[in-house]
Amino acid sequence: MLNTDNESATRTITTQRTNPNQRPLRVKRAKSLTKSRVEPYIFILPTVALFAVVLIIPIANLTLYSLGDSNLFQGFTGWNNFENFSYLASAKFLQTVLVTVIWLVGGVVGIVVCGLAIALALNKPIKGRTLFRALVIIPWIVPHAFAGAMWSWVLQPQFGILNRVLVTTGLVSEPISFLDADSALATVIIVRIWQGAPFMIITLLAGLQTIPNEIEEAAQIDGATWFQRLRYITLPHLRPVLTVSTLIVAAWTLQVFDTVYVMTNGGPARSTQIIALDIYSKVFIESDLGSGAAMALVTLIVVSVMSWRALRKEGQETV
Amino acid sequence: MKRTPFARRTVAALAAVAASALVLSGCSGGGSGSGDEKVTLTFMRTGTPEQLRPLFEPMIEEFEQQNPNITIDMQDLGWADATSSIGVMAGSKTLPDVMYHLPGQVFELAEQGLVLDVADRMSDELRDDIYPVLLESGQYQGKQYLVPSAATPLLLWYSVDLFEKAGLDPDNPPSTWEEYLDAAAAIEKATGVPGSGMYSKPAGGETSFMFESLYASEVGGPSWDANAQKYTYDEPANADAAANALQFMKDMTQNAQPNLVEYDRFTTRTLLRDGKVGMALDGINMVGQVKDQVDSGDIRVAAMPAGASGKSISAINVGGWFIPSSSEHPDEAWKFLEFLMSTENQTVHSSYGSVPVLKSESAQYEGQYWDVLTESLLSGVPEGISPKTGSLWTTNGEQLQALLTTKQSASKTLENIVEEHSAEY
Repeated sequence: MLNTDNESATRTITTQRTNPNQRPLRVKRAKSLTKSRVEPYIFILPTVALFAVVLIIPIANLTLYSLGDSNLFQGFTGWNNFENFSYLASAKFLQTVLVTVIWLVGGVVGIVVCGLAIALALNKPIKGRTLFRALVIIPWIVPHAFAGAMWSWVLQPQFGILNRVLVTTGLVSEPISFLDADSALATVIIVRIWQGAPFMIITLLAGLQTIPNEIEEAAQIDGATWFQRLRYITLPHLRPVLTVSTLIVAAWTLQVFDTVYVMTNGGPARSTQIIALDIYSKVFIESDLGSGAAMALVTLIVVSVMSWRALRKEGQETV
Repeated sequence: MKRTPFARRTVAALAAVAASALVLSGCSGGGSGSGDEKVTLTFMRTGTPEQLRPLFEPMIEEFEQQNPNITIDMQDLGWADATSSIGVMAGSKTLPDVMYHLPGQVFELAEQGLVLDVADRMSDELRDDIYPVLLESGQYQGKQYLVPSAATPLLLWYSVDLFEKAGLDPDNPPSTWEEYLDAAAAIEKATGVPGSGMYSKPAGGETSFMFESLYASEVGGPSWDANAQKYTYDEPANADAAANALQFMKDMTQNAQPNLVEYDRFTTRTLLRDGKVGMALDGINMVGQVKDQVDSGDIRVAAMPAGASGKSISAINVGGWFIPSSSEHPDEAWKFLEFLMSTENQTVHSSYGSVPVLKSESAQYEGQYWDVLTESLLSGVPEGISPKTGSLWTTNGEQLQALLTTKQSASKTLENIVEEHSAEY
């Protein structure tokens, strides 16, 4: 559209050169052309300004802090030859990365699988479906810190209701320690799935509404099994929603801090030290703003690249 | 007492009118000047506002009556927000004129030149009244940045009932590590109740404080070298004593409650209160959870059991007042700080959770309970605190958690601590 306008404007100007009487029209058109070029930028200026304030400035600061000596009180104080990045090569950080990968994969796969299963169940015309749909949202709206505290009490060996039920019913003879060195990571992942699944359920339920009934019915008449219908009809239709929702859930899972902080504080013995906790610990407990910023920057780059690749791939496949 | 914005504006307007009148009438000198200037001091005590305001508001009212030119604006700050909030306040130069906090972060601020050294302002009377170990705990690089106003050593708390059921004498609680372990085993054997309450949930200062105290008692001296700014247990010469202290901590878990990774110091207190463990090593803060039992004599307190040195020596954990260098009214701030440190006011403050900080405060009390607290201050050593405390405690917390909840040995724990500390120093 813009190209066509430009070409026509150019033609007009060329012809007008031979006719000085039409000069006012040429100026008017040139002004209109300038206006049409500038106008969009004026409209997007507030958004760009807001974007700069809330995103570009913090990222620029983060980059600056990661490259030098800095503290919470004075900010950046001087360059230090990339010293902050040395922590990223330490055994401690590698353990954090491993724990974070398990946390991320376990949490996201759990959320997708549970979310899909529950969404499929709630998509059936069952009695009380509206009530169930409302109930499943509850874990999502519970604040993370509160959820962490609540689960800590539920799982507590001495006072926790779950252990009391297990012991009273004779299922176990001794209270189970859900947060010891061997089981803590699995426990916090399960709590993460409990928290994150409702979002997946809501988005997938919306996606399921868009699948035409006729296709399902035709497949059923053709003798397709439930699994075949899921594989060849439901999942392909859900793919765009599923991709975006999975990316969002992955980003949220990587950002989770308060639930794990309240439940385990990264312990026992760093077994639940996910990257968000490590950044917090570096910045606020060890007052090492530089290493915290370096970790945050690398995480940001890795996640951005992964998200971009995933979205691009999805875009190509959709086209 | 809360001042409304309207009241503040009225006071400010009146002050401005009065000042203008003085200038217009040509009044100057003659005893007026900064002393008569209306000043508003901001004041912050980190902790639980609902408990702190009833303690401090009457003090503020009294101080304002005595000093009509000074108004105190008390602000609240919970422990959970403290670390990040102080960083933000320091960065924006909005720290209050008088503030209470813990030495680790205060020394960190001091290192950036953000805290006043109050050594020259302190009267000999106040200096002599504060227990020396506490005064020392407020010093960093020879300067008095913190005026201690709350403190705790590590103490032995025990259940009289469980002692009697186990055939132990409550009047002679364990005074050595061996006696502690024997008593814990005896309680468990006789009653089925774990003899020792332990905690390892926090990955920070709580278990580090226990290790530091036990080590001080084992080696018979300080756990922190203030000149070198290092823990003395990191020195190869003290490795045996440090390993022994760690081994004792591990041994304490033998007769402790199960799943201790899920217990912090707070939840362990409730176990002692409810008769579900026989003994626990904890600070004075324990009394907040077991006050009724202490008053009735069901739970008693004794000095921490002694290590190989034969002396009960605990590290002393303190908090205190400081004046940020950004204060525009340091003289008035000091005047208020000094007022807070009077025997009467400090006694009220200590009721929030502290052993007596002043000798004049201790003199008001008598009885076995108070004798134990006073004695622990006389024999105690300053807890090791520096701007690097955060990272040093993180290391300790993580390693001690591994010691207490996994199969990691005492020697391996020490090896890891020493190695990580050497990188952090």
